[in-house]
Amino acid sequence: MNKMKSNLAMVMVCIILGFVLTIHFKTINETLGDSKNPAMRSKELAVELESFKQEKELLENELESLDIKVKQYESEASKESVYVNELSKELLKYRVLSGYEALKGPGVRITIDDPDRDVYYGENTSYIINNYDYLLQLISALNITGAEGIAINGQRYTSYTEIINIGGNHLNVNGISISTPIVIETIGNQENLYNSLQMKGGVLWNLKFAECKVDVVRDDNIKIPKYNKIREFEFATPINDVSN
Amino acid sequence: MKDNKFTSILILLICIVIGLGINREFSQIGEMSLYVPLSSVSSMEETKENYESEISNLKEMIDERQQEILKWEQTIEIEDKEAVLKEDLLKYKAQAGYETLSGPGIRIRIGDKLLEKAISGNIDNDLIHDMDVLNIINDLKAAGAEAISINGERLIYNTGIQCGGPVVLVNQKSITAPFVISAIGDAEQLYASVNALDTYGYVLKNVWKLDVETIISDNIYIPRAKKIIEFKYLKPIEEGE
Amino acid sequence: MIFALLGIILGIILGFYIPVSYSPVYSLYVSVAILACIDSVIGGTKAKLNNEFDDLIFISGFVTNTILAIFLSYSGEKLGVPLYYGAIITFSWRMFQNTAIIRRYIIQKFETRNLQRGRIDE
Repeated sequence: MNKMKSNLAMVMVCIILGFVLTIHFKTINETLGDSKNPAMRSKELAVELESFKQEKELLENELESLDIKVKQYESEASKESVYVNELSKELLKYRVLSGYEALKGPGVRITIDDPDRDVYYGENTSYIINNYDYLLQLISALNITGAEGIAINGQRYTSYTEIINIGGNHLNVNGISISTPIVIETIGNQENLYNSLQMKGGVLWNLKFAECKVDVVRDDNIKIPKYNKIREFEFATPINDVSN
Repeated sequence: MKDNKFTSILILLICIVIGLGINREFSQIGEMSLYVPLSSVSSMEETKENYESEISNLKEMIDERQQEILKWEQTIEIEDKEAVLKEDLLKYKAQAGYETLSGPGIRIRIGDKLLEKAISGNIDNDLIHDMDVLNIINDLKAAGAEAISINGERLIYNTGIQCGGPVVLVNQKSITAPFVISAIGDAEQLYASVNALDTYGYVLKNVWKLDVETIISDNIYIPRAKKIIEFKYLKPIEEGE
Repeated sequence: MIFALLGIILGIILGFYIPVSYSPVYSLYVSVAILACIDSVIGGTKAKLNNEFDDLIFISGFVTNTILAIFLSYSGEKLGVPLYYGAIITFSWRMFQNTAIIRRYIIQKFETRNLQRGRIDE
């Protein structure tokens, strides 16, 4: 009986061992794909990223040249008629309001980074990312102080822009993942913006209190990129009411 | 005697193999002997996904531009050009929030706490704060809201929401509880973003016991933004800059 | 010993068919836990051969070692000191040591059997 018991214990542990081993290898293989180890996979990825980067640059250049063409058509038409000229101006205004024009102007740049602590492998330790609603408050505060355009880590902030944390140490803004340090650029009245950001009890003050590294810099030539996603209404339809 | 010879030869063979191994190692130094943690591989995968999204966005925009150029190329009279511009104008006006819209979606009503007794000692926890409204609106956007309004004020890109004492200021207008947030989009997704377990809306309703009611409707009306905006500081970047 | 092998094979087959997986973030912990497992199994086999096997000690050792190993790696991460090295070194050292003992035992058995045969032949 004892022999059975002792064999049983050994067999149970061995089954667990085999099981965990297989699952471990399955998971690792999922992450690595075809490569044999992380070093190889990261080399593969580095090559892929390089080619993606070049493709993105090519597409950006193509888009820019198409943009220039369209603007040419518009400006030529504007010369022909005053009405068309007015329409063009209105069009530009609404393109700016909806985020489809790149902007430049005087403003401030805010850089927020986590407090100094060693970064760990796989831990969700970023204070600012776990408390991303501070960023929501910050953007609201900038808007109240008259910000005319805002960008977060190179992503234009529009009326559709969401900031979410779906896990890992990064946030998704406009569907693109960004991580610390968070750089927010905004165009507007430099003095007002700068002063309101220094307010005690404000968002930046709270972040500094939590030991985050916060930096606010005035810049006369802030550049804010345009929103690069096409949006179409799937559910909403415009209605012609009197106020329109 | 035999034994000694045998063991000596064995040791000799083993040493030769070790020597060859060392030789190989030194000639391959710097190759793939670095330890790369799994986490840096996953962060590279993230960057790759980012590139894929951005590239597909760019391709869509390029398509759109090519369509526009086609339209322009077909214009002959000045009226045609006016028509093209007008079409564009309406499109961007709607995207910017200056068109009244209607469609399926949800309407959320948030009021201060119903119960007489305070849940915690702090009266602050029984009131609605700007952070609450900001979080709910953010969740709605993440669930694909195409238009949002709060107490009749349309939300646009530079709408600011802040606490102003007992009231909340939206676009510098003060509004009081109860707050009614309307959103047009996929009604089920919108509903879930505010009511599913672990969402901000869920916590607001079930933990802090604030009065949160969500209804689904086929006919949500969202007014256009009325704010007249003048740009004092920004300039669009001309092409080629 | 045969049971041990059968057990491992059974576990591997189960692992293939049951769709469980974990996030790669925890791969460090699982690796260390696997080491602890292997160490326990080899230690258990050695004890069996010496007729010293006690199933209570075996199971408790297995569980405690695994928990301790995971705890070490986790706290090491938090503190910024690679404490899991300690687990790896200890388990590896014991694995080698126990395997050596098993190997000696088998070879001795083999040699005594040869010697016995030799005597009988004579």
